Amino acid sequence: MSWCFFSYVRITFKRWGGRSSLNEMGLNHKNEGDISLLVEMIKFEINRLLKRRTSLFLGVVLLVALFTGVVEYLGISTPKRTIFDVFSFSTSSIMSLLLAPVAGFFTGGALVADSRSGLLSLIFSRGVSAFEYVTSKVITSALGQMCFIGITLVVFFVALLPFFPMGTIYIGAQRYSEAFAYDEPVTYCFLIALLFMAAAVAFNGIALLTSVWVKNTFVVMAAPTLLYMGLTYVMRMGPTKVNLLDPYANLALTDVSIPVSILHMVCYWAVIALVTHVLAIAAFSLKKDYM
Amino acid sequence: MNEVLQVKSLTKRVKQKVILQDVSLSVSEGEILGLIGPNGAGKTTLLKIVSGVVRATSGSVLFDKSAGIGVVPEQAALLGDMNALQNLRMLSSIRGKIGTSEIKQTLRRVGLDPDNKTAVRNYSLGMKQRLMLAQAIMERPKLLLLDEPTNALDPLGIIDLRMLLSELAQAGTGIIIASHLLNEIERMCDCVAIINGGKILRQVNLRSTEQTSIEVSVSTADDWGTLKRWAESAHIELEKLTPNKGLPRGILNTKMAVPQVIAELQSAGVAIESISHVGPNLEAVFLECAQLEGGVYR
Repeated sequence: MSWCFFSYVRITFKRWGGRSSLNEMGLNHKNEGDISLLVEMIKFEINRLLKRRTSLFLGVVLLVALFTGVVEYLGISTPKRTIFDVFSFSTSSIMSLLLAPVAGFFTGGALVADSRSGLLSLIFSRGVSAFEYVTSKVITSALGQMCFIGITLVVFFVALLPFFPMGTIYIGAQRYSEAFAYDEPVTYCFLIALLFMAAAVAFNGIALLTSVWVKNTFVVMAAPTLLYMGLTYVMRMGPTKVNLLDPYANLALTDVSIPVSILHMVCYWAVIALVTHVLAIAAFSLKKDYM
Repeated sequence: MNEVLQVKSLTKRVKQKVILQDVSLSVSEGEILGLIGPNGAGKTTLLKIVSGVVRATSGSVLFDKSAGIGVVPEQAALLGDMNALQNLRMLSSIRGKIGTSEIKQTLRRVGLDPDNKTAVRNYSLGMKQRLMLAQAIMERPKLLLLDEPTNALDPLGIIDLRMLLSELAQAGTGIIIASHLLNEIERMCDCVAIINGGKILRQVNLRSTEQTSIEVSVSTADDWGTLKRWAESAHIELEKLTPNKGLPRGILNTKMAVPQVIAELQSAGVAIESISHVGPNLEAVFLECAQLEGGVYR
């Protein structure tokens, strides 16, 4: 037998603390090769995401929903109707209801779809490790969510331009941030867009984390919505509200009895996004079986 | 010959259930290994462990990672919205080893039209299987894993597959095929591992050059006597079989090739009625190993 040891990789499975581990690699296994493979995987996932036709459909659904918010806004009296006022009002009222299901459907089922279709074996057979695969998936889906929500909000804002004049925010912002919204309407609108983007990424992380164990695509896609609704209900049923943790209040910019800044809310969702994605990467990388 | 895969003492347990137990095997360059066994024997799990989608509880898998592995899973795994060329371009982009011309060439090689713009979801099962084969071989891996590759293939497709695998093996690719079709395994493979209950029960070398069995029929009882004396003098084992249409016949277990035996017997004065090479009876070996009763898988 003539093994060329240095060009081979050895995968050894050992019983170790109740789980198996992939713990021995060929000596000349190049780390830089892994990084390039990760980059290629990210490109691969971005290509797949760009080819998805459902993204356009979901964007249209979200835009239509945002315009129903505009209709509701027109029924409310205000000192002056401005573009920032209608934008902040409509997004705050619609996104708090639709963001979780839309984000879940957009990329939530990405991991489980590959696993169920068997595509995962074709990817792994090309030398891609579980870590590289899930990291590329996490990065791509998080970027995808941010772009999807960001682009939809920009399109919505541009579509409103011909119908409303520039001006400050009167009713679009809630009580804790009224002064800030009044003085800095552009920054305020930018921050709420950032808030929804961060929340969408957090919902994406919840769906990805669920899909590490659950193999039903619809359950995975619905997981962020179910969790969001459940937590909102729990937060509201107690005699003493812990408003800082209330996911609805932190997304809908309402009902916050403890004064917090909008930046705090962005951070709140960003932290959830980071934690869920890191957990998804760790849980998937340590899994024993992927199919 | 260099080995392209070595599996050592592989064990897979799921909770208390043993899926694979102490499985060891190796595949050399250009060798085609068949995996046969009843449903649930562990064939697919073994292939999944080698391809990396399932982790073993213990044991080791040694292969050349840089060359990659070509995998044809049991079920077609493709991106349904895209056409064949787009699917393969997408998958090849991961390693970036080949370009569009090589992909088109591979598609033609498996009998698909690279300019066909039909989305893969509208392909027939046979076309999907051909496409799966194309994605597995397009990057010229040193090791190819095929799980039920003849599924959904028409007779022509099966013949094409057989020829393709033979070409790949001649080019040095090590191939593992898991299948239920014993005839196809017997035709395609050099060696067969019979697996049942997660264990490899027996490995049969179908192309053994050490000793071959040659069935000989002679014209008369006198010829049989001459044959017997010749076999004794040449130290060749002769096993007597039931006469066929009154003609005495037997099996010679020898290292000699058939033409050489014919020449030797003619010079010894034996009138030969028929002579042919007899390979190992895979079906009989499989039935014995898998402990089948009444032809039903257990």
